[in-house]
Amino acid sequence: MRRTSLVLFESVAALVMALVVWEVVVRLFRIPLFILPPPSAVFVAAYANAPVLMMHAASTITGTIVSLISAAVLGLLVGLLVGYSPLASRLLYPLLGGLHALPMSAFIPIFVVWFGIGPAPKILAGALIAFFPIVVNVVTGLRTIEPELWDMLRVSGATKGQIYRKVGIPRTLPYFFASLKVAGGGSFIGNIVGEMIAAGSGLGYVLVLATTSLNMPLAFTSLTILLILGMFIFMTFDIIERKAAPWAFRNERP
Amino acid sequence: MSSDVLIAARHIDLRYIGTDGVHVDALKDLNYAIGHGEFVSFIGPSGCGKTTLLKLMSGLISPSGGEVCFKGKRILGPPSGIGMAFQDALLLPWRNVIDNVLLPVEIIRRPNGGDRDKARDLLASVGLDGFEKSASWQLSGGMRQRVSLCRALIRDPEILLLDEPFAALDAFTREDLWRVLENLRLKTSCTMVLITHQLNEAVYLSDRILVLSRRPGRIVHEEKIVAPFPRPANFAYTPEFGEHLENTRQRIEH
Repeated sequence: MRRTSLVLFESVAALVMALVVWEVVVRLFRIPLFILPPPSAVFVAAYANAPVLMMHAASTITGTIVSLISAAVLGLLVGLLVGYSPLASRLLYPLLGGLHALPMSAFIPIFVVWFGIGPAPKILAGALIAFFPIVVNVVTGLRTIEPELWDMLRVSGATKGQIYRKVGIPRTLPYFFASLKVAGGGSFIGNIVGEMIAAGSGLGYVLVLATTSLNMPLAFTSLTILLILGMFIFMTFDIIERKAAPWAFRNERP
Repeated sequence: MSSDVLIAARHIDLRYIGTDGVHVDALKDLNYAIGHGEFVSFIGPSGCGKTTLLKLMSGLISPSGGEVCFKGKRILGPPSGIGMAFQDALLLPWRNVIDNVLLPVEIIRRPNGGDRDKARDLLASVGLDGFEKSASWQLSGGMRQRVSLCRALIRDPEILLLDEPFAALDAFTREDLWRVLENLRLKTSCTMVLITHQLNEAVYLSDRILVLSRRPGRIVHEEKIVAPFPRPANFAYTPEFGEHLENTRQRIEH
């Protein structure tokens, strides 16, 4: 517990230091407001627009969660299928790899044609980005079952299905939760980019709106909120990961 | 002797195509017969096909020529009545000790009270009473290997195949485990086949040592050790022990 509060203190201290340096630099070099606003101006903008920003943040958060949940469900299913069946692996894995190499935001204009401006394109973009790390990790978890363990279970008369159920899926869980940390970030990015291109709400939308009217304090406010949300997402999944499979962290020393 | 043979190999050859496309003779015209209740060790230079030999006994692979018979019947796949333990204890870290021991039972049925009693009894006989609910990943190497032996014996196998189970342990722990294994043998009267690099381990534990040649593996020497079990701790310091050690060592090609 003391360790947690220490970590929190260190993080806050680092943040405060960065803000102080930023404020000082802006004032010292007299950087104009429309280039780089000082943190004080950002706070003023945040305070003045708080209710509206809250609404937009809620839209970004909701989109991220929906993207992530759909990617997690689908990614787990596809990962288990590809890891279990050599045929599915031959058919799907190269295709998945190829799709992964494409920038997902390139799909957003197509999603707009299909679903119009609104939450659908950003949620789809977020889900697409989040999907791949989940699939890849689940497949890795299944494929790295120790060969001797496999032999031992085969000699015990286990079927392939039993081996996957008793060993494969449980040992894949830490891989799955680790991938959620990456996927959470991916889903967040997909949503923000989606909002910047094709939505009427969300912090990405606010960011574009603010920069086109050179309202830099507001733009930086959106960025700051995004930064905080990103940190929150990462930390949440870090905690979930540790709680879900404590045995996977057995070599960690404080 | 021939009437109570439990497992026997007749003229087995094993060839495979190596990574460079060349045929490799792993085993050539190999014969052995192991009787009920015997403790037989296979020893030989590394790469002589010792692990392959165990895989043939357990039905995980088939010979290119000849046959392996278990209880008079030709082995075509993993037969029931075989337990296995490896150098790595391969415990499932998300399961506690007793649930690891019960894993092979779960392959055939839901473990009942009787199975749990038997697991507890086995654990007690390897000196792990009170550790049933311990997290398996918190155990020391020697303890993990004890659990692995219990797991291999939970379904009352007729033969226990041991693939260098003590190779990764320190010398003191290893000698402790020799006595643990000896106790288990006296308790269960299970036939045991051990593969090892440790000559003293083979002499201490076995009724017979079979020495394999370099690839292609054949049996080049048989050393019978006639000394009653349980063997005293100072057996390792008797002239008789030294003689067996010397006889066997001379026949190992390096």
